[in-house]
Amino acid sequence: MNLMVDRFAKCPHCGGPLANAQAGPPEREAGPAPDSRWDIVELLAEASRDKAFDETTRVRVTQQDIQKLIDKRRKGHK
Amino acid sequence: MDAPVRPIRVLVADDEPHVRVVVAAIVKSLGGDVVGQAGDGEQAVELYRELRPDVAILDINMPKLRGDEALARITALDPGAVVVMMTAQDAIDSVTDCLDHGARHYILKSNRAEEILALLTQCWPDVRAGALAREAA
Repeated sequence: MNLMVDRFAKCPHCGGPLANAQAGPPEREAGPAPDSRWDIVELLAEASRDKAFDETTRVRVTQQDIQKLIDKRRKGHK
Repeated sequence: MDAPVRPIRVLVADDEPHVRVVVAAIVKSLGGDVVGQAGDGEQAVELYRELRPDVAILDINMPKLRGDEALARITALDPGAVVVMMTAQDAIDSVTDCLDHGARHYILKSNRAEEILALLTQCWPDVRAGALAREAA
C-alpha cells in the first residue's frame, strides 16, 4: 500500500490542496464568559438535589412497613 | 342476653369490577354487608353521603376523582368515617398522605387474597368500634 500523500491531491471537503489541510478542526476562538445559568457546578448541585428529592418521593414500602407506621401513629396519638 | 350484632355496612370503591367482587366476597366472609359499590371516586363520595356505611374501602387510582381525594372529601363530610385504603400504590408519600387525611388502614393489593382477608380481619374490630360509636352518637 502506498502511504505517500499525493502533493496535488485535493481535499474532498473544501477542494483546497490536501497538503495544506489541517488534521483536526480549527481551534475555537474564546467565546464570551459562560452564563451563570450554565455553570456546571451549579447544574450538578441542582441535579443532585433533584435526585435526592426524587428518591424521597419514590420510597416504596411493604405491608409490614405500613403496619408499623400505623401502629406508631396510634401510639403517638395515645 | 346480648343484643344481636348487626352486620357491618360496607362501601367498596374500585374501578376494576373483579376487584370489587373479590373484596365483596372477603367482606361477606367476615359477616359484613356490602351496601354499595362505586366504580370511581365521585360515585364513592356520593354513595358515602347517601348510605353512610360503617366503613368505606377505597382504591386510589380511580377515574373522575382519585381515591385519596375521595378520602379527603369523605372525612370532611364525616370526621368519624372509617376508611380503609386498598391500593397498589406502595409509595411512602401515598401512605402518609392517606393516613394524614384520616384513613384508618392501608392495604396493598399486592398482598395475596388470604393476606388481604387477614388484614381486613385485623381491621374489623376497629371498624366495629367505629360502627358502635356511630350508633351511640
